[in-house]
Amino acid sequence: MSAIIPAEIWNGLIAEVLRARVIAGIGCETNQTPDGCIISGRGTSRWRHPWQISARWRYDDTIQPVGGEWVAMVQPGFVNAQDVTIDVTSPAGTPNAGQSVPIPLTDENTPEIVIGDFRDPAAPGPIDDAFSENFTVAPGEGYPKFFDHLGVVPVAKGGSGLAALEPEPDPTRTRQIRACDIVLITPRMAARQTVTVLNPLTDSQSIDIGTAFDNTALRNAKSRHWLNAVSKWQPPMEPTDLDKLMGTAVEPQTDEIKLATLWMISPPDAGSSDEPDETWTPYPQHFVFWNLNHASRAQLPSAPPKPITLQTGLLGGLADSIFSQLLSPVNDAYAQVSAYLGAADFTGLYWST
Amino acid sequence: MNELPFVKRGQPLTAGLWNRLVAAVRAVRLLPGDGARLRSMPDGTIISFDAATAPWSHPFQVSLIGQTAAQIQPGLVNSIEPLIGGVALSGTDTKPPPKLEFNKLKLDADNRGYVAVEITCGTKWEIKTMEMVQVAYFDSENGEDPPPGSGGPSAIGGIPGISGRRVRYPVAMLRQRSTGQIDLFQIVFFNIVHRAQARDAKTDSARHFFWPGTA
Repeated sequence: MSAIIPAEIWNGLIAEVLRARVIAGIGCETNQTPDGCIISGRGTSRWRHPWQISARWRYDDTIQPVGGEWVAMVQPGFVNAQDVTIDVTSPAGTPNAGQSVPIPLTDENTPEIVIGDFRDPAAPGPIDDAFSENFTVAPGEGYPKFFDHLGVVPVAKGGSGLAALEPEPDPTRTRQIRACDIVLITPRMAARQTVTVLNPLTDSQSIDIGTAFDNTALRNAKSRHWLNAVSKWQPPMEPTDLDKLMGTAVEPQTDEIKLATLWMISPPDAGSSDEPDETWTPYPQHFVFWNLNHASRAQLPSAPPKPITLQTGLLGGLADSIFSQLLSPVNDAYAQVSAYLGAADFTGLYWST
Repeated sequence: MNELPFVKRGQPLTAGLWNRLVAAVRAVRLLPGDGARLRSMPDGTIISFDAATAPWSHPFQVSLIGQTAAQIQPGLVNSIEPLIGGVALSGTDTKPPPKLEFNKLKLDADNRGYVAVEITCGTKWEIKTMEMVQVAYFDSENGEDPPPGSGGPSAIGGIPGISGRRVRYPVAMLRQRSTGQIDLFQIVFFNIVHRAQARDAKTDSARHFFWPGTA
């Protein structure tokens, strides 16, 4: 009896054999022989850089049905030579039981970030014009090419119609992928432009652009710098040039930098809606490797310009109102340009140390 | 484990042989045991073991000598070498590299301390003197008492200066554990550059910036 072995089945087997080959990692030495591979442990490991992430599955029977959660440990890193913290929920029986407490990375009981929310970078992107018959679907976010060779499902290419929502499966690539970002957050002073409406007849100006400062986040911060895990990090929205020109600029109250992305790879044949459990494998991708410094530009706003006026007292003062009204567009434009050029800027910058 | 199903030339590949090959491939899958970590790669699986970190010698590397002294590898700030007791970190022709003796560790309320380089700036904010110190607080006047707001959020960042145009920049943090053991966390790994941003021309108040490099 003969049976046909499809090429993809054969290639899948070859890929599995390749993956089973042993490569020496940290503290490991290998010696390949015809009968197998001899593996030996070494006494020292490679140097670990600040912010280096290692993830593990933490078993917890109280979390059902999965029986645990993924957590990330971070090699201590410093910002302005200060400790960075992770918010940890205090366990029962401690003074702050149930409350979120910032724990420095250098503490004796090393804190771990709970990773509760993952994104699917292979899934189709947002749908445009969903109520139309010819709706379009954006391509998936994508992932590093490295994961192609591990047999991760292809990224949705996007397109139009229902077919774009359900990409054609590839039988040789059946591992699912999820991701989350680890972010460093620093609270800061933020400037906010304010617009006051004036009377052009008396003030020669219809708008006055001022600046107010908001330190709410800074005041309420539990620590100078902390780490957080988010499904998909978006940089804080800095005001645009147009915002500054219009006097509507509002600075965000935090500076943030993405330290790493944690990619999670499932075993073969996982479902597209599966969530990472203990059978998945974490792959951290780092973006920052050294300790950091942080400082705000601390650029104070220039004083608003005094409006140009013309006081003559003619026609019993009536001419002054007419002149004021005529001058108000000039003064408004002057105020806008001045607000743009002299806007406060408290944007913070990170750099390595 | 099954014997591997080698075949002779011309021998048909039966479903049984194929399944034995599949079983053999499955059997050589790697599984992590105690202290081992596996990472599956396209061309193989990386096996790593828990082990002590390999040493890496770099500028300003701090090594504790018991709990009363530290040895600091030579490093430069603005291409100038800091001193310990008037002797450069790398020593001189007649004197060996000095140790930073601190007798009793200065620690804050959380059992945290620092080995820092204390810089005194001149009239143009250039480096006038530079000495290695061990302090509990790097941003306090005497290094022992917490300044107001120490450890809290900073409105503008940078490293705050202290009176007399001084600033302390930590090169390592020390943390004493409940067992009494001291853990050391290195902060600076390279030679560094220093610049000060004075608040105005009249006061000695400034914030200080450091980054890797040579001046």
